[in-house]
Amino acid sequence: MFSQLFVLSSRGDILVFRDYRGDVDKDTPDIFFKYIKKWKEENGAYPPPAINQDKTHFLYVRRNNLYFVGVTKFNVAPACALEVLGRVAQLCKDYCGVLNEESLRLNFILVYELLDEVLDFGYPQQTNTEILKSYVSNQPVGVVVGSDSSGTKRTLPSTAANKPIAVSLDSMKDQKYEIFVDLLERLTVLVASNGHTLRSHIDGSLVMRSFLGGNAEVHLGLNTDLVIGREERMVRGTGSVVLEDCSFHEKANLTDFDRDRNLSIGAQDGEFTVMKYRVAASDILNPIPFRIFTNIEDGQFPRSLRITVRIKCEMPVKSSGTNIVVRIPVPKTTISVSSEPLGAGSSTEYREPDKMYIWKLKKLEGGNEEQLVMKLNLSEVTKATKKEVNSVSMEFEIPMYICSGLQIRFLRIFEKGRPVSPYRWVRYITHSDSYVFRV
Amino acid sequence: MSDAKYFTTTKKGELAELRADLQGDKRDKKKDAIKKIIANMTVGKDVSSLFPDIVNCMQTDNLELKKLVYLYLMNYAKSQPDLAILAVNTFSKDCEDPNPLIRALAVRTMGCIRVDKITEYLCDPLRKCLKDEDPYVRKTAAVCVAKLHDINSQLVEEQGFLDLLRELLSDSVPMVVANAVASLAEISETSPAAADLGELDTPAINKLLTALNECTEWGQVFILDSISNYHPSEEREAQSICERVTPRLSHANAAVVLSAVKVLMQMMDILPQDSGYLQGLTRKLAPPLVTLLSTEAEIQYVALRNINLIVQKRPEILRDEIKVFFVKYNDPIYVKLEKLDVMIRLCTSQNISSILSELKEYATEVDVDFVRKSVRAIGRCAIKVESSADKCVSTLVDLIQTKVTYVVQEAIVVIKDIFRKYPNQYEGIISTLCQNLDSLDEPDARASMIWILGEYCDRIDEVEEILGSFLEGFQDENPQVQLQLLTAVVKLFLKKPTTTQELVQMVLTKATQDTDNPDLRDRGYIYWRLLSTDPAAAKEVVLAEKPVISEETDLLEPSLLDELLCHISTLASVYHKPPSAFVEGKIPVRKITLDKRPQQSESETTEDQPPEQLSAVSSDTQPTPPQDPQDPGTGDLLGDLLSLDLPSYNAAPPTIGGGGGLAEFDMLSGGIGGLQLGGPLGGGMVTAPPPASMAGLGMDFFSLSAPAPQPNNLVAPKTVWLNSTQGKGLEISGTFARRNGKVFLDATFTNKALGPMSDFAIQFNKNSFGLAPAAQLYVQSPLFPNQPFNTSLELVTGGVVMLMNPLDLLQVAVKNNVGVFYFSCNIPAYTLFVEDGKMDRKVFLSSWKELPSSNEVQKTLSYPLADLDSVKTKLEANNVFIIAERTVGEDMQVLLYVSTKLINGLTVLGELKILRNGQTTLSLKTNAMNVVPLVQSSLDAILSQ
Repeated sequence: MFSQLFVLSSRGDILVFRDYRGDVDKDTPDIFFKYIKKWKEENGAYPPPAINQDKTHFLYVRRNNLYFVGVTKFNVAPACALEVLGRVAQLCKDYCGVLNEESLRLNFILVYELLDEVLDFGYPQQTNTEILKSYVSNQPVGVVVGSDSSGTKRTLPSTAANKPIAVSLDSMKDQKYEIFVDLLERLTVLVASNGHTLRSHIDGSLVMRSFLGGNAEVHLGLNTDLVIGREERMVRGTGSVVLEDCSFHEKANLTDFDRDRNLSIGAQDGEFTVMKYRVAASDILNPIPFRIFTNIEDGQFPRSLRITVRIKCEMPVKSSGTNIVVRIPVPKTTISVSSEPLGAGSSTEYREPDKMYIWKLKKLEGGNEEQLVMKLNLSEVTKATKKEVNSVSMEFEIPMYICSGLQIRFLRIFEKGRPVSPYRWVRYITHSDSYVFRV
Repeated sequence: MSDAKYFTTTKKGELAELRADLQGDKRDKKKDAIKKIIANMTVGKDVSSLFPDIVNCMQTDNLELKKLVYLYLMNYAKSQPDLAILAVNTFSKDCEDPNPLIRALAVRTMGCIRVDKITEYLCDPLRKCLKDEDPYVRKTAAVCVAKLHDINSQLVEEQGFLDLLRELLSDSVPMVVANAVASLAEISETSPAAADLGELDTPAINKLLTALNECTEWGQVFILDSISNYHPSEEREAQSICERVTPRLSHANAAVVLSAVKVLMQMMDILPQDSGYLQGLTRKLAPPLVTLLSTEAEIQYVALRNINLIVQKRPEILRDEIKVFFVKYNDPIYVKLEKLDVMIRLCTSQNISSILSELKEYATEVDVDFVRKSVRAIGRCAIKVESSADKCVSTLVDLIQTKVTYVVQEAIVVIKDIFRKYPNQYEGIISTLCQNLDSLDEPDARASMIWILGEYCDRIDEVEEILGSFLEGFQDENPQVQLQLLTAVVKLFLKKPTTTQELVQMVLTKATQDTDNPDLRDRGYIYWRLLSTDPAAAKEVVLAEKPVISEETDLLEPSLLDELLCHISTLASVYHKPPSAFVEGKIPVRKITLDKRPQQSESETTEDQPPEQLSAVSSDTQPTPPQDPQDPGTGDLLGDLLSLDLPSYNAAPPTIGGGGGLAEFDMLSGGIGGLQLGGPLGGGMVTAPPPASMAGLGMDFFSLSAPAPQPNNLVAPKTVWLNSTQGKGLEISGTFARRNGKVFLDATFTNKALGPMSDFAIQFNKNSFGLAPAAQLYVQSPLFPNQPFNTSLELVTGGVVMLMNPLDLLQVAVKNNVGVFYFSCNIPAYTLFVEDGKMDRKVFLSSWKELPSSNEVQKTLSYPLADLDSVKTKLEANNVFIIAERTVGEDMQVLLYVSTKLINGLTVLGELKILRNGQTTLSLKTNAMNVVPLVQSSLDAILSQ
């Protein structure tokens, strides 16, 4: 298995380096980083996660601009190696609060302690945040002391959950007793040029981040008319929410789930995914939250084009999309692009090397629409020029909105059979995954 | 307080300061100092000089401090082996600590200190820990056995740790079982002595299957990987393993899923292929594989590489899931490329239209690699699904219209393949292709375009001008393009001979004279030769019907695929190479070694090459017989030129003696030297200068295969066996010789009569060695008066044995149209010494001692032996083998001990005592005293040469 495991910053600095087997030279971080750099220069992208350099194998994942790298000489299981690296990143996040260069430097001894338990002789041993607590002796240090909120507040800043878990009994006393539950959905939508939706599905996940000290049980209720899988659909008929496929955390207790869609789970400290699901969204995503209309016509002058992009938010009025980014490719022969002035909260940027025009909107409310008019000067216009503007893609997030209609009906916390009331924070959020309109 | 500050200090004298802190008695300062040291260690600074001070901190009951010290020790112990010994006592003490965490920590760290001297101290604590009451300690000890084995495998085997490890397979705690499995797997993989350890039996497998449900996800991976190496004895067992492994498919950890898939794929091969159970299993495999595609990109990549293998073997698993392989715009490029590959593998006539519309979109994306691959994929669809070919071709034509150069070039490359697959269906688009000639700047595309031009030259207007314009820059082209140009022009010439003479002359001249590329020159010569000797044959060869190209141009070779499928979920399945190609030394014992194409990419390029090259060469391997009697070498030359490429030829053992091989090489070099090629159509003679590099090649070849010069074995001059009076005009003189391990009768038959002779035959009487002719005697018939004829007859043993007196007497009868004649001759024993007569030194010694002195015959040679080296080579050349050589006594006499074996298996031992003046005594010892005179005279003859 792993001979070495190290973490590099985005600039190639070694943050953590642990040798497990002593059968590989110590200059591996250098070799690895040079390889990545070269590949990026030549291909403009990151290389695949398994790299063979002279019979030394590097497996890496990138998380928050950090490289988590495993080195081996064996014919290992790469899926296993990458999962381990992903878990190491997750552990660092749980124990350090956030995952970045600074937090790792602040807690590097703690990270070494963790790595000692996670792998032995390169074989993965234990990656459970909760269990590992009993093996570490260092106290985690948070990067930023989050603004302490009093219990009366109804909302918290989104960074509130970015704090380390409590490791010792001492620190547990100071720890705020709270749990964050996120219901996240990522949308994949592909719309043909005639406005017809070719493909749409939702990848959802229910993620908890617990600071309850590890011995609480969380009870959670989902929509009672939830239907899971095609076969169930036949039996139960169409409910309000139909999940194509659904998987749960291995510790989740599902005894009542079939009957009333309630589940419980022993909440260990740190972040974990309770449930993942997939929704084939052709019925549900109707209308889709955003729609884009693109029109390309010849400009006033020879060798110029005029592109009009209109974006419409089709959600109910009370919802709105934020941090919207629209990417419009322009033809290779484009010399310059300009756009007509936009309203407040809108901005544009032209990325010349990628031939990509970027339109950013801070916010777009349900029922509203915005328009961008671009003027392009080109060095050459052929029959195919217009075809190069082939698709417009977008990114966005929609806070407090879930496309599938899935709901958390209740969230109750028990400690040894007795209900307690810690701070419970529930958040719904929808993200774009791959959201593309063909032109 | 945070740890970041430890990275910051870089002042001078830092080490001294740290040392002072370490030696002080304040624990907090100690801790801080060690943290600083470890921070330095992390960024690669050398802090090994602090080793002694740190070892002194080891004895502490503070766990945090202890861990830091251990971390340091593991890093530097190897560079300070003597000091590391100091740590041993503390380790031993810690292994007895009441706290299991400390016991485990000690045994874990000790195993990581890779110092030989420490290992012996490790044995006792390790043995205790393997039987510790705490499972955490036991599981750590289980891994420690593998660590120790890595440092000193012999020690582990001697101390019986392997048995202890096997016992842990039945441990009650699954985590311990899992680590024992992992350790055993590693040990059995790296050590041949322990190879059978990895072979688990049925009860062991059952235990593992039980532990499977309860252990951690990582333990599940170890256990599943072990099970995948197990071969169930019967179907029922395979089925029950499947049933217990299948639930793992829904695990959230991709590693568990893939390892489970690996086990199931192995078992599926054992199950009856038409059973309903197997079909059910096939259905169950699809959802988990699909789910892997919604994980992180890195895992997706690994999953896709594995899926790529799985669908080559069992496409039915994912046939209905094509849509999950459609790319998302935010997929990393490496995921996009893999998805494309899988899409093509899964394409059928049912789903082709949706695939094609996807590919069409991809071909207009931004990323160049992805676009290229998409275009190529369209071509592959056309080749794979015939009904879609029309649509694919029109899509490609659309793409060519975009004039994006890399799209155009990629399209042309795949269109060439489509033309190969569906000849004479799509020439209509050639004119579109020709419009883009100027934009082709990549060798692949140029070569493909030229191939198309050559193939369809009779239907393209002004093709002469087009090819002519390519020819202008011939020298600057890539070899691949040059080869295609050469072939295309020759094709053109064969189809339109009247107008293209000049062109073909030009290309042949350029190809044969103005280039350093042997491939090109050879092909040039072949065409030239073909055209000048037999244009009709040239037509048959060059314009021959091409073999159909396979639908799947990029399938892995079945044997490689099967091997890779055994390695699903390992790096081999990601690289698509057998583990031996990228793992050093540690080759699993069970693995079937395959001598196959190492890389998929290589095979792709050969497939992509315009096919003409291959067909031309293969049709030429049986060259038309040389028509020109003036140039007898050329036919062989062609054959040899072609065989130059065959690596096996070089690897063949050098042929010794006989001179047959030598003659061929002479012919080759002569042929090259005297090579004169007639110009095509007799249009003036073109003299090709002897190509220097070719001659060099020939020379190299010569020296490779030619035997080192060595004295021939002894052949006596021919003596007259039958004189013309006894033979009524027939005179036979002859001798015996040994060549290539065979005995030959070499004879000259001379007709001294007045009329011709015919109908020769020969027969041997029974003789001492059972010799008989291996074949019919060949004598030219009729043999005219005064004409001598040399013949050589191979002899074999196996005839009737009858002891003759003298032993070497052979009675022969020769018959011809005149009558039957008898004569007798003597076979010299040296022709009967066999090649494998070298006796082992020890055997020789004991035989020599055993034989009584009555069995020894001595003879003093009548001539002095001066040159010892030549004596030895003479003896060895005649299969008399030197066993030992000794120089004894004050007068430096040399003793040579020799052995030889006769064709009938008798061995004779000998001793040559050579005095300084060269006077030599020969002693022979053997069981069969009657051969002694024979051998004696033979040795005499050999030495007196």
